[in-house]
Amino acid sequence: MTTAATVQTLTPRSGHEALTMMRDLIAAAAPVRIAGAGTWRGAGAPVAASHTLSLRELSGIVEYVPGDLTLTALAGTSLAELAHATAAHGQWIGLDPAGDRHGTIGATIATASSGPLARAFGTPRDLVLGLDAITGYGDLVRPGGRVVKNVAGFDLVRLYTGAWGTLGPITQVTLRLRALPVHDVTLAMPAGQVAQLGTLIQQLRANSIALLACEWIDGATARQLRIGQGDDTILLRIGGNDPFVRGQQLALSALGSCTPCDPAVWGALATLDEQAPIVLRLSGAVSDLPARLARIRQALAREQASFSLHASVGRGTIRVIVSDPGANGRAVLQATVIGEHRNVERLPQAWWTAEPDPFGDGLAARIRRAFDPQLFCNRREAAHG
Amino acid sequence: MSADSLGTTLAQIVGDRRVLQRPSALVAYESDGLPGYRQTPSLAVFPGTRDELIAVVRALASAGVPFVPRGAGTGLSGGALADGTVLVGLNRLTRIVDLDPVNRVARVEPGVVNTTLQKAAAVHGLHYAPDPSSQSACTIGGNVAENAGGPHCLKYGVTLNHTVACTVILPDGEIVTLGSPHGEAPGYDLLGAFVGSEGCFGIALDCTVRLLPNPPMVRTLLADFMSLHEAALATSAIIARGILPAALEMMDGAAVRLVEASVYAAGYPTDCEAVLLVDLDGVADGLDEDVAQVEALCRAHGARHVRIAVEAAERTLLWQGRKKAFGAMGRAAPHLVLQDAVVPRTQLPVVLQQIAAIGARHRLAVWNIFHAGDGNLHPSVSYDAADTDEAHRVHLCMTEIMQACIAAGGTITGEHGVGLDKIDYMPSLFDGDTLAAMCRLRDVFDPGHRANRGKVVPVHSCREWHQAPAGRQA
Repeated sequence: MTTAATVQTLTPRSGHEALTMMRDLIAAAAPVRIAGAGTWRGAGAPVAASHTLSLRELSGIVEYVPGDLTLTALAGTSLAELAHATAAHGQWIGLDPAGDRHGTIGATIATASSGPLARAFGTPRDLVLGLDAITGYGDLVRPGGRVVKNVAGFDLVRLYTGAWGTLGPITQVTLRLRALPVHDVTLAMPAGQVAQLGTLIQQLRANSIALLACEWIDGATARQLRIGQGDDTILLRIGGNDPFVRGQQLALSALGSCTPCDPAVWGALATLDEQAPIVLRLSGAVSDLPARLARIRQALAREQASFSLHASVGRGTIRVIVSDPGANGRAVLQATVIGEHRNVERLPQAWWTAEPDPFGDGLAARIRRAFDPQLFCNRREAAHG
Repeated sequence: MSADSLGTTLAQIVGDRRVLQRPSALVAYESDGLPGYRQTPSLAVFPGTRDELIAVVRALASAGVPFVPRGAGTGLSGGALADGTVLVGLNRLTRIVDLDPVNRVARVEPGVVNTTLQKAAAVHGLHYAPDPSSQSACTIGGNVAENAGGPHCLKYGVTLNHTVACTVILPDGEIVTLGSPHGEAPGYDLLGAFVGSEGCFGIALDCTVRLLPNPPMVRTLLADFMSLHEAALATSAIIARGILPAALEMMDGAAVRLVEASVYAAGYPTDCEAVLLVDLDGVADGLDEDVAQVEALCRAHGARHVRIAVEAAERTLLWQGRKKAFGAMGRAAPHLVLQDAVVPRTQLPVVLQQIAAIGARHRLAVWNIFHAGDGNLHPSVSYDAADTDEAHRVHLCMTEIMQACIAAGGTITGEHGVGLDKIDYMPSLFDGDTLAAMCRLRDVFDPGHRANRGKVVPVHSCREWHQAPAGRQA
C-alpha cells in the first residue's frame, strides 16, 4: 500500500519501457512502489513513494513450449490468462495463491504466494526457473533459464522470489508447468475436534494418501463457503488417473465420511479474505498443528475478534483472517505470535509500526543495499520503521 | 601470518594430526572427481566438531587467509580445489544431530555421507530424495554446496527443494541461520541463495533437510532402441504426455556395452544403440496405467523390447548398471571427462545428433549416460591425457558441445556446479549485469573474497573488484 497523497503511476508495456522508466526514476532519485494488477489491495507494508510502477500492462506470454512443460510470461500476465493458455494443452502452473485470478504472476512470485496446492507442488521457489528483474542500480538481470535443472551461477532467482519488490521489479518469469490431472476431485470430510487432527495426519500417512491439497477449514470458513453444517471441515483434493482417484477415494472413505464438493470451493477459499483488514500466514511444525490451531482459536475468541482460519494439514501453515479485531486489536496480533514464523499479508496501516521489517536487519539489510543502495524500491515508510 | 604460524594456530584447535602441511600429504587433495584439474593447497585442516570448525573459520578470518571448504571431494567441476590456499575438510563432521520422523526432517552435520542419511531415514520408512551417483561417498554439505541432483530428482526435485534450513558460518566468522525447519521464514530466501553457492558464501555448520516417505510401489522399465534418436524422441513424448516418472535415464549403446563388460553388468541388451531406464512410483492404484502408457510410448517410438521389473532385486540390478556406469568407463582409457549440461526436453533429439557429429568431427567417441527426463546431459569421453593431441581434441569437442547446448536454449550445468571447469562459459550464458549482480550477492556473504575465490563467477565480471583498492585483491 502507498500513503503518499500524489503518486504518479507509470505503466510500462514492455520490458524495455520498464527498464527505461526505472532508470529515469533512479536518476531522479524518485522512490518507487512496485505494483501488479492491484488486486491484492492493502497487502504489504506502507511504502513511501513518489511513483508507482504498475506492471499490469506488461502482460503476455513470451514463450510457451508445451512439450517442455515450461512457460515464459511477462510479469503482468494474470493468473487467469496463464490458466487459460496452459489448460488448452492439459497443463497448469500448480500455484493457487490467495487472491483474485486477475492477480499477476509477477506479484505471485515477488510475494512468494502459494495456496493449498503447495502440498503437492511446492511454493514459488520450487517452480520458478528463471526471471528478469531490474535492480536499484537500473541494471537488468536475467538469472536462471528455461530448463528444469540449472545450477549455473549464484541463485538470484530464489533471491528475487519473495523479495516483495525490495530488490527491484520482476519483469518476466519462466515457470515449470505440471500436467493437469485427468480427474480432479474435491471432497469434504468433517474434521471433528481439532485435537483429533493429529490422528488424521497419521492416518493419511499410514494409508499412503497422496493428495493435491488437504486444507483444514474452521466452521466460520465452512459457513462462508457453504459447506455442510458449518462445522470444522477438511477439504481434500485428489488428482490423477481414474484408478488412482477411485482408489484414493476408497481409502479416504475408511477414514471418515467424505462428500463430494464443488471444485470451485478452492477459488472461493482463495478470495475469502478480500475485505479483511488483517491477514497473517503462520508457519510451524506439522506435528504441532492441532495445538497451534487450538491456541490461536482460543486466543482470538478471548479477544472477541471476528475471524476465520484455514490450515494446510501437510505443511503446517495456518492462515489467519481477521475481519474485526474487536476492541483490543493489538492483542489479536499478540495472540498469533505463537506461530514459529509470521508472514504478514495485510494489516491496518497504523499497526505496521510495531511490525519488524524482515528486509531491514543483518544479512537481509546488507543484501538489500547491495541491490538497491538508495532503497528506491518499495521503501517502507520511515514513520513505520 | 606465515604458513607455519597459521598451522600452529590451527593445530591448537584441531590437534597436530588434523593439520596437513607436507606436500606429500597434500597431494591427496590436489584434485576432486574431475581429474583434469590439479591444484595443491598450502595447508589442509580437518575440524572434528562444530566448535572446532567455528574456531578454524574464525582463525582464518583473523589471519585474513583464503580457504576452500571440501566435503568428500567427489565434485565434478574442480570446485573443491585450493590453489595455494587453505583447504577446510569437513568429512569428520559426520553426526546426524536429529532425525524427526514425525515432521520428516533431519538435521545433519555437513560431513554426513548421503547414503548414511538414507540408511538412518530408512528405519522410519523415509528417504532423502537427492541421489547423486556418488551418493555412497558424497556428503550432505557438499550436496548443499553444489545443489546436487541425481536420477530421482526428476519427480522429487534437487537439493534446493529438500533443504529447509542451514546454520552457516560466514567467512568472517559470523553465524547465521538461513531458512527454517518448519515452513516459511519471512524475508529473503537466503537459504535459496546459499544452496548451490559452491562454498563461496560460507560453510554450513549443519543442514536440515526434508525426508520423504518411501513410495509404496515402484515399477522399473527398461526399454531398448536401435537408435539414440528414437530413445530421445520417446523421452520427449513421455514428458510431453505429462507423465512424471520418478526417474527417466538414458544410456547409449557404447555405454551399455561398457557396463555389460564390467563387474556392474546389469543384463542390458548389448546389441542396442540406447536404453531408457524408467522408474514409476506411487500408490498402487493407477500405477499400472502409467506403466502401460510409458511402455506404449516407448514402443510407438521404436523400442524393440520393454522389460518391466517388479521385484526389488531386479530393479536394484538394473539401477546398479546405471549408477556404476561411470566407474565402468574407467576400463576404456586412463582419463575420463564427464560434462554436465541441460537442454529443453524437446531439444534432446536434435542436440544428441549434434553431439554425435561434434564427436565424429574430432575423432572421439562421446558416450551419453544421462538424466533424460530433465534434459540433463552428461556427454563423456575416455581418453589419454598424456596424448596431447587427443587431449586437445577432447577440449575442443567439449567446448563445442557446451556451445551447442547453450544455443539450444540450455545451460552449462544442471547439477555439477560451475567451479573451475565451467567458469569460462559463464559469460556465454549470462550478460555482464547479471554476472555483476551475482558478484554483489557474493560480496554480501564474503566481502573479503576469501571463500573459494576464483570459482563460479569470473573475476572480471565483478565491478566492485575492479573498483576496490589494490590491497583488497591481494
